[in-house]
Amino acid sequence: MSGARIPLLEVVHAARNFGGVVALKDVSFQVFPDEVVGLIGPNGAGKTTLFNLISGLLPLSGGDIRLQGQSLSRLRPDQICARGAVRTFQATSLLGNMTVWDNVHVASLFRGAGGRAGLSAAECTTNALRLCEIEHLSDMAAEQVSVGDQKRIEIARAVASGPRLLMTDEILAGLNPTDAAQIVEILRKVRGQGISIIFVEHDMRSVMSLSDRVVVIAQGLKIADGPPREVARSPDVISVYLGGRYAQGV
Amino acid sequence: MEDVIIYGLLRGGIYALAAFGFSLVLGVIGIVNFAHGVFVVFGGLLTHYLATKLGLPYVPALILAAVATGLLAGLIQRLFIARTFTSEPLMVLVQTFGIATVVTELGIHYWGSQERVLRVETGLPPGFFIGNTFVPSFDFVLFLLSLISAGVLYLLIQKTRFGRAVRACRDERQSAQLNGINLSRTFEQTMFVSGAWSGLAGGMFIALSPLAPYMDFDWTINSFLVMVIGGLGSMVGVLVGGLIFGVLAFASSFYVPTVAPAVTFSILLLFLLFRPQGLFGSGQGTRK
Amino acid sequence: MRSLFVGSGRSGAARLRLQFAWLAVFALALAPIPFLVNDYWVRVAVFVLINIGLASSWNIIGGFAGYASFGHGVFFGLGAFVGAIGIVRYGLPLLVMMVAGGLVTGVIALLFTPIFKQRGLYFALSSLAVLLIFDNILQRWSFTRGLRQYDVGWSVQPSLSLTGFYYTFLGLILVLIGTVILLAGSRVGYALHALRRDEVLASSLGIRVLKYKVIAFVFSAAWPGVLGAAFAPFISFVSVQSVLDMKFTLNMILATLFGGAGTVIGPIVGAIALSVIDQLTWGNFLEYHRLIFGALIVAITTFAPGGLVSLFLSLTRRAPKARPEAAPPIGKVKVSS
Repeated sequence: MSGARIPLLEVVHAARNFGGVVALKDVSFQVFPDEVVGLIGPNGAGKTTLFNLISGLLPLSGGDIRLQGQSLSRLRPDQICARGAVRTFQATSLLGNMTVWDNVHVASLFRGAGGRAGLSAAECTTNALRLCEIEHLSDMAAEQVSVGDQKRIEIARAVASGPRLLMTDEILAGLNPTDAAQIVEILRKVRGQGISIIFVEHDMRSVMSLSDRVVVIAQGLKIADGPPREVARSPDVISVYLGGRYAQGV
Repeated sequence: MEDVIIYGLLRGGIYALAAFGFSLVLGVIGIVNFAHGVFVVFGGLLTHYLATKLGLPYVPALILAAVATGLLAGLIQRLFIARTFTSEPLMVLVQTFGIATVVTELGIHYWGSQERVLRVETGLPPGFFIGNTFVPSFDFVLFLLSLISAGVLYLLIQKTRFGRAVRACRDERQSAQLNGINLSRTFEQTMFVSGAWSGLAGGMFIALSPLAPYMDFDWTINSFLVMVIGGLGSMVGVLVGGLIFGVLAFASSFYVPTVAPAVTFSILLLFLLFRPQGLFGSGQGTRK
Repeated sequence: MRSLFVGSGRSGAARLRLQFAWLAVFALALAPIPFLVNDYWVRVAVFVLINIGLASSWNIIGGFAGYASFGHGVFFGLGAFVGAIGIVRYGLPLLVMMVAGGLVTGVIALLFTPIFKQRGLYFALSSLAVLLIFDNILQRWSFTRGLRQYDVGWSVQPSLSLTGFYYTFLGLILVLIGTVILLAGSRVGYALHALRRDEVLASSLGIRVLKYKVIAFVFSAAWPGVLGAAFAPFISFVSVQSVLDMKFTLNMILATLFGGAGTVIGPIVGAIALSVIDQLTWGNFLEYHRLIFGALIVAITTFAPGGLVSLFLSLTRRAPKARPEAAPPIGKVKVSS
């Protein structure tokens, strides 16, 4: 439970609107060290917007976002990465004509504060590849690797950036259940290294199995925040996903 | 001073016509067409050829040349640009530069490199006065014609199915494809329109001032400048930009002829640095 | 098939050693030229070396970083003016002027970094604007116009023999390529490669994009400045017409793209190939010279947009079998609002 612990990430009344469209109305929540927070919600609810706000790709229209007490609101994406908030991307974004090793190495070369001190960039890269169990693919061109392995490269790259907080954006999209389960296990290993994770997903089973806590966003607002079982039974959440009728039966 | 403004405005409509095509191609397809100026020159020289060598009356020559230019543009898109765009979009910049060189050189070989201007006989009265400035009727008619052509283009983009596809590609490329719009066909049609309106501009321009094959690069730059002043994505902006540019171009060639190109480029640089979205632009001025 | 970028991170030292070994071979092959051919060909060789140097420099900003600088010849021209003014007006030695040339152009490049706020066409045209602005300044400012009041240029006495110039330029080019090899495999090389592909992504990886664009630009501007200063006594008359001609810019762009942008060897191969074609068409097809050049650009960009290097690679490597579960095409990061 929250309380005595200091939050790693604080999202405080975050809002984002542009051109008359309100993408995010007012969202507040916290992420603590060493915890996995699942972030779910219907399409268009504002999850990706929230992501882009935290990682600095979009400016806040209102509110604040703080990492270890320091505001991220006017920082560039590279500065945010340096502070330890690292994200993956929804569309596969690997550098296709580079090897797997080099794709991860770019991140190692520019890694931020959260990584282990005293490691060379090459060691950092190797560690990340090992964690994701793809060291054997090091010399392959990234674009020739299977979908499941590309996701692993994404995670390895994010880990090589030395995060305190890792944010994954629908990383299980397009995977069959077996591959998806394996990625979830990789993320568990990442968490085991002391890295907190914000896990945006549609796959409920994965979210429930991995998350310590689940935050639900709908129509730009947070409508639930608690342990997975509780959230799954919450009438508000069910009505958002299945429609009002079903909620009344609970 | 007042006559500079008036003569500049009269030509401004033509500059705007040329710029529409450039802006359309950049907005819809997302490429920089260094061969753009070639379409203007080609249209102009072809109009001249049709009118003098084949004896066609001015207006049919103009329209025929415009259509031919449009076909040339569409062909270039289908045979060359489409291929490179899919694999290395950054190279299209250079590719169109090469195409411009080839077409210009071929033009010089077949038509010679001298300047040509077209004298058009009309039954109109010589002109009228605005204040102290004498406005030739023909120039004024061309100005009206350029406004009408702009209007036609506007209707084309707002009302037709082609126009809808164009707007979809320009504003939201990825969903355009998902909505079933055939991208490569739309691109070809866009290039056709760009070529046709540029050819029209050239055909009109050559009746006022000389054109020669080597002038293509200037026209590409001019169109870009008009677009930068007026703003990407706004037809009204390009029209206003064209008028402003017409005045600026005329003024600088009148008052400071030796440094006119430097003036042009300095203005360009200033706009690029301080107001890249132009006067009316929709903010997307610095997309790659 | 696109050429594979292999940085110096993995098996890094070995790769660097290999590249420098090739550079040594290159040096040895070119060293005896003044003793093997007559003066005309030595002069041609000097021009080829200069083009190799200019193309390799342009490649850093245009190929590695992906910013097509269309006014880049301005740095070569400025270097030539620095060389001319230093030698003729102040009597300074060539070596000093070469360093000065690089410093001046490097600083000027630094001053023009605001143009990096734009991309693609906007950047290309801004760089062209810079060229034209300097073109005008150099023509009008009395300090740069010439030694005497009505001069239109600088007459610079050649301080070396033709052979001397050849070895000077050869030495410069070898050092230049050496620095390019080091840069390409370094942290900077990785950063440029990432930001060329996608600046948003690069930034999210912790790369301070503007910093590396500036580094690339200054590097790519300083070397032409050095080469330009050495060019002044070689060409012996420095004026806006002789050193700020658009053909220098066009050659460097063309050579890089023809050979393969974003690779170390691309500009070298491209510059040599273009010089060969240039010599052939000049001698035999003079009228069609520009037409052939244009047609070449179109052919390369249409059928082998990666340049000669990628053409070579796709011919010598077997295309990999497509795996059934192969991933969807890798695309740019889309930032939805």
